[in-house]
Amino acid sequence: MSMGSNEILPGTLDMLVLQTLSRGANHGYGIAQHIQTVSSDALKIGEGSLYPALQRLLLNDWVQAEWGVSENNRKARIYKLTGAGRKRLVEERRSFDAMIMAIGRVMEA
Amino acid sequence: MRVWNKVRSLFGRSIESDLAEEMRLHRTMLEERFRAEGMSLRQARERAAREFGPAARALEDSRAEWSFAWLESIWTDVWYAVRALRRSKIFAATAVLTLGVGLGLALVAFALFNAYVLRPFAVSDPDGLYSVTWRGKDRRVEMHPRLEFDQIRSRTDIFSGVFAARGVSVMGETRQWFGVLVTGNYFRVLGARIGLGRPIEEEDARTPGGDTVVVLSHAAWRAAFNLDPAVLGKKIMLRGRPFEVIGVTSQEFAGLGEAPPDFWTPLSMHAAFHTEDVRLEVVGRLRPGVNRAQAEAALGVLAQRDREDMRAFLDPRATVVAFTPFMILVFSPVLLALGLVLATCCANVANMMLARGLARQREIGVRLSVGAGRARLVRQLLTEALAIAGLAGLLGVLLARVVLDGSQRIFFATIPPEFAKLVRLHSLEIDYRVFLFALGAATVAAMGAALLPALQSTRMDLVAALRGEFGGGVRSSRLRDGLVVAQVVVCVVLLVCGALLYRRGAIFEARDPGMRKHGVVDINLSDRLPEVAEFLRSAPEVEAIAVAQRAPFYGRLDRTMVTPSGHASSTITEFNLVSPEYFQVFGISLRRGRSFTVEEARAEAPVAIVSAAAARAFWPGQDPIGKTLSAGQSTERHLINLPTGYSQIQVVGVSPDTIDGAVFADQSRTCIYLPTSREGKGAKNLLVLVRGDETRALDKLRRLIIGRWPKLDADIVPMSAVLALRIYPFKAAAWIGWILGLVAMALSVSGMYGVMSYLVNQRSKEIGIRVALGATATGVVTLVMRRSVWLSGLGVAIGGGTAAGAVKLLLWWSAGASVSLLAWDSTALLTGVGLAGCAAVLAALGPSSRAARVDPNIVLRTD
Repeated sequence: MSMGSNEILPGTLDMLVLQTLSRGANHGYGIAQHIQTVSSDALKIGEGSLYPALQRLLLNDWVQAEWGVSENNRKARIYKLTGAGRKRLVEERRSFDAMIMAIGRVMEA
Repeated sequence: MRVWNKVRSLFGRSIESDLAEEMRLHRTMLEERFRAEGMSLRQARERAAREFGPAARALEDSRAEWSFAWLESIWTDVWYAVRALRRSKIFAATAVLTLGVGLGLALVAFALFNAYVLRPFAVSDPDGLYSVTWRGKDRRVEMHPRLEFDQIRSRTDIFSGVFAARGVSVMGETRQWFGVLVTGNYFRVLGARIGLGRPIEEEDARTPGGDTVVVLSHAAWRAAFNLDPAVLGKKIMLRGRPFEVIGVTSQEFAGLGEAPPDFWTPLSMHAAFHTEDVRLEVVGRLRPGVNRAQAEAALGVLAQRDREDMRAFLDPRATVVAFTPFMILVFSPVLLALGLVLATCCANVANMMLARGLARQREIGVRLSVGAGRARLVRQLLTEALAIAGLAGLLGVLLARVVLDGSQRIFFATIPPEFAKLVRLHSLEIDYRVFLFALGAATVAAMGAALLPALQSTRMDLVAALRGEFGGGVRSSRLRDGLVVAQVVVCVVLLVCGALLYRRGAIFEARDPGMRKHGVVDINLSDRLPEVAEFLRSAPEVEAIAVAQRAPFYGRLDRTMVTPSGHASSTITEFNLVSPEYFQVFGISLRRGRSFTVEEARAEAPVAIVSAAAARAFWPGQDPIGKTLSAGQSTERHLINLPTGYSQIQVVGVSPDTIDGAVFADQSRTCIYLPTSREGKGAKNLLVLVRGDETRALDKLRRLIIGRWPKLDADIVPMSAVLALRIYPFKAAAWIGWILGLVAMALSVSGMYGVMSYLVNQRSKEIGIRVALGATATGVVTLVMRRSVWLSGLGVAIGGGTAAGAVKLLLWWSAGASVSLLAWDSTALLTGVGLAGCAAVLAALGPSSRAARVDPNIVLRTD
């Protein structure tokens, strides 16, 4: 999977998408926009990585997708977090936190 | 879950079109945003395209998540496997051959199992067919009287159709014919296909004695009419009456019996074949919705009419032999033995793969260090094994085909022709069941052989691998050595068995029965014996005619209890009732005394001729002539009491010892001959000494008898054929023993080859150092050979000991029985041991010469 220029920490994209969806169902464009806005443009997600990630999540039954209508009345595919996805998010969050703390300790030592 | 989602995606709505649509919409939204920020349409589109990235690439990557990536890379694996195998042809050939032989043997057994237990009869819905039996505490009724059949047939609430059948054997001019008498609804209820003409129908089976029609089997049509379609309407003679051929069954339908019949004819004709009241096998087709237990309960009333403890049972009639736990038990030793052979083959191939894995450590190490996943490498090695198994499976199917065809052909070519005409076999074809079994067995074998080696050879220390230290982590295994020793043991035991059986067979074949082997024809009759004897006496082909209760060579004679004079207790002896001509017909000249007189024979007088062994046993050192034997009475089932006239028997003659009972019987067994004549009650067989060529005389006699008494129930067999048939199992056992021995030898050769190759690869560095330090090629070869001699020596010693012990044990165990299948035979033992030892040592020659070619410049270069 290629990462593009606006790097995201490897392996965290799935977590970011799951986190975004945990605030409510959304479509691909919405997810990308949300991550970009909340991170104050620090994290830019190219579609080249967003869509493979979404397919991966679908495949594992962590999200569900349905064709629906966006907030401004456009046709869009809406992604929704599943129970399994919620669990997965907690797990990823936990190991991510552990890793960040570990990195922090190393950097401050 | 993942796999399921993937599979579902293959059938569900196209992901691709969804994705493409989704991405198009995404891009539109981006464009709109940039337009809202004040860009021109063109600018916005360009910006959106830049932000979005290459759409095709995104689509590709997303699709990859769904695709069976592993499935696609399997082609790569297969390609690698083929390339790798082509690089090492000897390894590939040995592995394919080893697995192929094991699979071939397993397939032969499975094809037999399939033909008799698994393959249903070629009728419509065979699983609905059941035969009706009554079973009580100590009795089972499988054949029912006509009345009972009618009662069962009237239960139309249980069965949608019930038919009855009964076998019949008819002496034809050139061969024996086996037929089935059937009710008119037989073919309709079965739904059996007819190849030519029409089946027997209800109208054909209405007139007792008048329904002279017959349906031929495809095999009989081929054998007797050479597949001539003009057979319809022709008449064939059965028991002296002409029957019109109205149809021929299709090739697939060969009756419901253990042996395929030659013809079917209406049951209304039974009076033409049987004198006694006819008893019938009753087969019904269960009505849909009625289960077996309900039907058995409903029929229980009929079963209990005879006896209180009788119950009704429905036995499945879909296959020749019902597939029951009992049948699995019966077949299990064979299946187990073949499973073991297959397992040995797998173990051999596993050994070879271990050796190969070691030799490829460098390749594997390099792949691992450039980032190939271990799972991927394991999969690649397994794919290689599957490629081998695929080829081995093909070889196995071919081999099984050849073995099945060949053994049937050999069987029919080698059994006495008189009996070959009697044998009918179901076809042993390789159908889809056998093929699926081959596929499954090959896959399991490949996995069994390759999994452990694949795991072991990919488990390596990456750092060491990068440094070029390969094979350090692989322990030399006692298990592998043990396996080779075990193989040599099995090989020795099988070879000794083969040699033993072969020599036994040769001994039995060469054995002189002490009586004429050729030129005597046995005519077994159920009635009219005196008339037939009188009739044949004038035939020019007949030299002499004797009468006997038992014809020789058919198996052990009956035994009875007698007390020889001068003895306090009774003793068991074999006996036969024979006419005075018996000794002349078989060319037996009496040692002492005289033969029976005509008067003695007619009166069945209490006189006896005893065998030399009986004379020795009863009156050692004395003249047996004039001694007496008093007949004892016994209630034991295996003993027959002599007729009452023979209570006090006087010995008038002594015959030499002959083998007239079982051919493998002990020659020292005791036997007494008592007089009888053709009018005697015990007279069952006419033994005819013929003039000139036996076969021609036999045909002539047969024609004479059929011409005179067309309805006569008689069997005519030359004694030479009976003798040959008796010896046949020993000959066959000898061949099978040899074949098994050779297979075992091939296995132990390939096993030894595998382990020695492994050894040479594993120690190539050590060997390299030795060579570098000046070791000669001879020294290196000795190094390897010493090991293989040690291993095979151990195997040969244990195997020889096991075989010798087993023979001793069997001898001790069968000491009391008169059947001696085994005897101590040191030649056979030495042959087996010698062959196995030589084979095992020879197998190590290849690897050891490879060791001699080890080049220190290459093996030591990496250090």
